[in-house]
Amino acid sequence: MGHYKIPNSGHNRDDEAKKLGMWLFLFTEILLFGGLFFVYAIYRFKYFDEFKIIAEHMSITLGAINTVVLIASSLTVAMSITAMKKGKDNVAVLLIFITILFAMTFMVNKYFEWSDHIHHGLFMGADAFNNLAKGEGMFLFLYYFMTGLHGLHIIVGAILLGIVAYKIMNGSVNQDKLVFHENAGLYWHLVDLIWIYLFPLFYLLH
Amino acid sequence: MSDHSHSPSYKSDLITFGILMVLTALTIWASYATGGTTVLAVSVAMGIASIKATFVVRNFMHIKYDDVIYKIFIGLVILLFASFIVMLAVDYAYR
Repeated sequence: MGHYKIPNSGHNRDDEAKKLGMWLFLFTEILLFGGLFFVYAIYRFKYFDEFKIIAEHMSITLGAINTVVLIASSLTVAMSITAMKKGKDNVAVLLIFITILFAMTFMVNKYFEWSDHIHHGLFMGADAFNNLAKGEGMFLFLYYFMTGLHGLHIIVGAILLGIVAYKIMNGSVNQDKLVFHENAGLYWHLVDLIWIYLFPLFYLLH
Repeated sequence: MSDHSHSPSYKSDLITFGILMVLTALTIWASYATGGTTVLAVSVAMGIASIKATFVVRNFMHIKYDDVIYKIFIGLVILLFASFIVMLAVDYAYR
């Protein structure tokens, strides 16, 4: 048997494949949320007036603050990758910490928002909820499910960014090897992307 | 792999952020101006959201620096998504 030299032998690192793999994963995420957007679309048509009435309970101010916080966090992630490419590791770590702080701000905001709704009985099983029209209940169900799933992604993204910061500090992510950082950034931007649609659908349209 | 003459910079990151902020303000204003739940309001809100999404994907997710294969893949996913929406609308309208 003759010697066959495997292409790319000598190093088993393939950044391009890692990035492509990340994008394929993001596509499955888009289709996961996509299914929920389809459900939303159908019920929005079916219960047009009821969606309008219940949406009045949503605070545009809180939604807008969270939108600004998330877009700012997308900026700090993008800037941290730019900093890494310039070889400024400390700046990158600082920017990642700021991003995690934004993520926490978002979740605290969400906590206040949800507790306010729950306090007013607008939660599955509460008396006030049971007395709502079917479409109003459906809006709230979708609201909790979609923003809840999104919130879960915020938590996962923040943990991922924490790991990136740790890896930059111990040197395993560096100027020449930052695909892990870039992929975590892609995930974070996707979370921002989904919120860009959730904000008008749940807060603005009433 | 990366072409340094077209590499991202702090400045381009900040400009993208500025554009996204302006579009956020615009969509909030538009929701009041269009009266909330009319077909026009939904179209305007989704239109502005899609413009914002394009800026995030192009500038923050660096698609404008990436290989053409990524653009093709993203195009296909958008097409798949759009075809589902169309099928959904047709099914709903003729049910």
